[in-house]
Amino acid sequence: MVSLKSSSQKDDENPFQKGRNIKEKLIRSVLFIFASLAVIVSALIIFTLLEGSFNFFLGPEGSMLEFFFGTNWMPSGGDPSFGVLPLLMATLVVGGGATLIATPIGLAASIYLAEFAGDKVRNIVKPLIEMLAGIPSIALAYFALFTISPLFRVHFGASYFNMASAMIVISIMVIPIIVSISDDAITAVSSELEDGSLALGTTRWETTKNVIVPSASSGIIGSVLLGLARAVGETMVATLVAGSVANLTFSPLEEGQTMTAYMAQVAKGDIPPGAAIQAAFAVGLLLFIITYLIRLGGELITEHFTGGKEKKSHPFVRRAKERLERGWWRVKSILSTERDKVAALKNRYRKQKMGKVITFLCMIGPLLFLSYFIFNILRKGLPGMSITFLTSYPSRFPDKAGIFPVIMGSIYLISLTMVIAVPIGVGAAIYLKEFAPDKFYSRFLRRIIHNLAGVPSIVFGFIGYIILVEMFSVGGNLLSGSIILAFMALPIIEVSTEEALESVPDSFRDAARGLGATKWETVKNNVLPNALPGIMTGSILSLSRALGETAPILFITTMFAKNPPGGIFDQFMAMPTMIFYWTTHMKEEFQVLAATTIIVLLAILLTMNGIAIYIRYRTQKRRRW
Amino acid sequence: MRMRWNKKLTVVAVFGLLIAGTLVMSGCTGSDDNQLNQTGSSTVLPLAKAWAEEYDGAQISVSGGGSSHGISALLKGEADLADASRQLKPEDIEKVGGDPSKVTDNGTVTGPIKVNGREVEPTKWVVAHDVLTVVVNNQNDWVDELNYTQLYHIFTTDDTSIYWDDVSGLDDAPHKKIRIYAPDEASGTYDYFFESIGGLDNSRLGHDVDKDGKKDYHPSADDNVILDAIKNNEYAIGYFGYAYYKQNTEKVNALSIAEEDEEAVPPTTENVADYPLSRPLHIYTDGVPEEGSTINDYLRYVLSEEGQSIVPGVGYIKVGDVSPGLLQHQLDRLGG
Repeated sequence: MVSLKSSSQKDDENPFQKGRNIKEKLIRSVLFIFASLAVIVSALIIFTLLEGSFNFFLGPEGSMLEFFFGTNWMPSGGDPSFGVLPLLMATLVVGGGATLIATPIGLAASIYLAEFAGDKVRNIVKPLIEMLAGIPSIALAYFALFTISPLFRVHFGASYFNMASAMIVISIMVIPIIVSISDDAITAVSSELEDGSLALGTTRWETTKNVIVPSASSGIIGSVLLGLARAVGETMVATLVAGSVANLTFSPLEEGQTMTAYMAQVAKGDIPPGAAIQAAFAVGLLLFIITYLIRLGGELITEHFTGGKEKKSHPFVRRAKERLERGWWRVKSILSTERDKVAALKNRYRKQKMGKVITFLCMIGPLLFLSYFIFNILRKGLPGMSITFLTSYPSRFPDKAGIFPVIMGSIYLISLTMVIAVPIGVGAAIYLKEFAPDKFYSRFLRRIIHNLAGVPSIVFGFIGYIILVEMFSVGGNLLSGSIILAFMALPIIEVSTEEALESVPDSFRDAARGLGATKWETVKNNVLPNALPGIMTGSILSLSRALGETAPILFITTMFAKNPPGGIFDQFMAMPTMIFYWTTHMKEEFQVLAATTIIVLLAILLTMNGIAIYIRYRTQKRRRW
Repeated sequence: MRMRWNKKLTVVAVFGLLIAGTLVMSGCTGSDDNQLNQTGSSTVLPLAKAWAEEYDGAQISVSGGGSSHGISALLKGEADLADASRQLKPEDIEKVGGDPSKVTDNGTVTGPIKVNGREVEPTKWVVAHDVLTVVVNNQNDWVDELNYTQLYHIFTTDDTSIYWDDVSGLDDAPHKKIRIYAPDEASGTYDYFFESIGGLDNSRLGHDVDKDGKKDYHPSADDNVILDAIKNNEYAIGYFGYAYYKQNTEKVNALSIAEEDEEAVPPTTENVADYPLSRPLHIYTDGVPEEGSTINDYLRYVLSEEGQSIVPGVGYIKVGDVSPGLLQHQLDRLGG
């Protein structure tokens, strides 16, 4: 709390209005607490993971040596063995493979978008690719299991569960990440460089290849690393599609259990108690560390890239310049050897055409996937849609089964998540943007909140369950579920609120302060109302993401109840977990109902996103500064 | 630049309504007398779901998570009913810090156990029977019954049979590799199967990693996979719950099973008392529930003719079909 008493604070105090000062201080402290909650949550996560892992390593069955170097993962039975290598290997094959597929496609797509596509195409394609990122992973997992996996089984002799189909579908989740960050990086390349290169007579393709992509390479590498972290942390696809047998194998056609899938297996209760569950802490910790390091690398690289504009002397910029010079040299060499030769010129334009076609195909590919996915889900799920389905409970007879209490469970869950996450997220952002001096602690807070966004969802679910249900006995109910989801949604709300506050011009603040308003009065009356649309857009988007999450609530949701929950301490069902249970149901009729539930879920998500986009559109039109 | 007042009001009203709605919802808390939490074994789960659906006397929310999870939830007071495909073990009590010596051999306790300062007395109710079915491909014409010794040689690495004609008593079978598709080590079915046929921990397939790769063994957590593989593979053998077999009787052949030196018995509802691979499924409660309580009413429903009539539909066997005496005894304890 020392940081509260900065010198600037003293200037704020008005000796004639003690009451206002106290109120101001109080609000400031509350906002400070909201911002600091993320630190407490992060500390709890790390502490719980560490404690559980220590218990495992020091326990009779666990051994650090075996864990890191053993090649056999066999958590149950009389003589269990806990060598994490098979899990690590499957994580590498699935996550790494997905990123390998996604990188060229995503990069090419962003090149086309940034360099060749007109504004019209960009305005259509970018939202569609964002939509791809918004599809809940459980829906893609369903698609992978029933549509993609059979292809591998029939044509390549893959086993029923195989890592290849998981790889393909996860790559679809990674592509939007790579496209959006790479696109930012490419468009941020100074137009002087581009124009200069073009003016020398290179084709646009040559300029892109030799000048633009090299100078945007940091942003691109950063995007790939962030994508990789996402792929490694993906749970539902790995669980449903890649399998649940830990194999030490490189072959994607075989079954393999990723680290996330093992944790999901613990959530489902398919694991005997004792060391096997303790081992989940060690797996979770390892997963946490791996994704953290990958993200950290990605963020550092991207940050250097964006920071480069301001800090000219930064070593990164020097490196970029060197790289550029090399690019220029290549451009020059192209020009000097092939200048004036008509045939060569033709050839160069043919190359440009080919590049354009290939990048175009890479951009269109994911969109084709999206449309086929939607078509496929509609075709499979629509036959199950009926009034009964929307009004009944999940009966054991498919023709009587419905999802009314499930939909209500999801709606209650997300409302409660909102009630918890929005005040905290907005409060934290207000503190960081409007009140906090740019000191070490506020930078640290911001970093912690961003890191929270990178914790794999299954780790969130597992730790949330351990802390809320096992330690504090809150119980497996709506409250626990929404607390877990709230802290997952928090980072996005915080970031988008900060952006919204940023967009309010400082002149507004100065004018209000000049008239004698306190900081909080300024924020409340002049800043927040103008930032509200942006805050709402960000909140709705992050809540819609939370609504589609399966892994965090897998430990908590119920599988059957006739009625919706009646209070926050009631157990509940939710749409994503219902899709999961029905997908794994042995009767095919229920697999149809899983697709029908996916349609309902997608419809709700689409509505939420529609509202968010509408709000954004309205404000952009009405904004007059 | 400034939002007009009515706009602001709308925004505040929407948020306010949502918050108010949630608060109202939380106002009527879930401490309803008619609400039961049931959790535990995934084997019992389909049955528990069916009862919860048919029973109108209470709101029952059912979840899985495994027998151990269910028992520990009951001991900690988080659940009213614990589903278990096995009996209570001393380790279950030890895990929550109680006195494990009070556990008897038949999965009950000799007296109340202190857990976190409150007393709990896990009480066992047998609510149905689960039967394992060993299945082969429909084209398999060389085997229609197996005894425990033969199963042991097929499914363990101890003096193992690699080819069908290696199996004692099946000399006329083709000289083809036995392809085994079975539940993986994580499943309760796996444990139960090997406990029955006498496979020691270190000789169980899947446990003893078959390093020279002689055995053609494919474990899976998914019954669909096992069925699919056996259906498509002439030389395949595997096992899963009778519940699952009953829904797919035309796709694979079920074998008759014989315990040592006994007559082979086919897996059917009528034969269950004599069929070797059959186990009781339990619900545990805290003490014998008082007459008139919601739990008592529910258990009485479960054991009633109406409640038991659901059991075969789910694929398990009624308690009364195996031991009518036990059914009556349990009903008597409940005061019915």
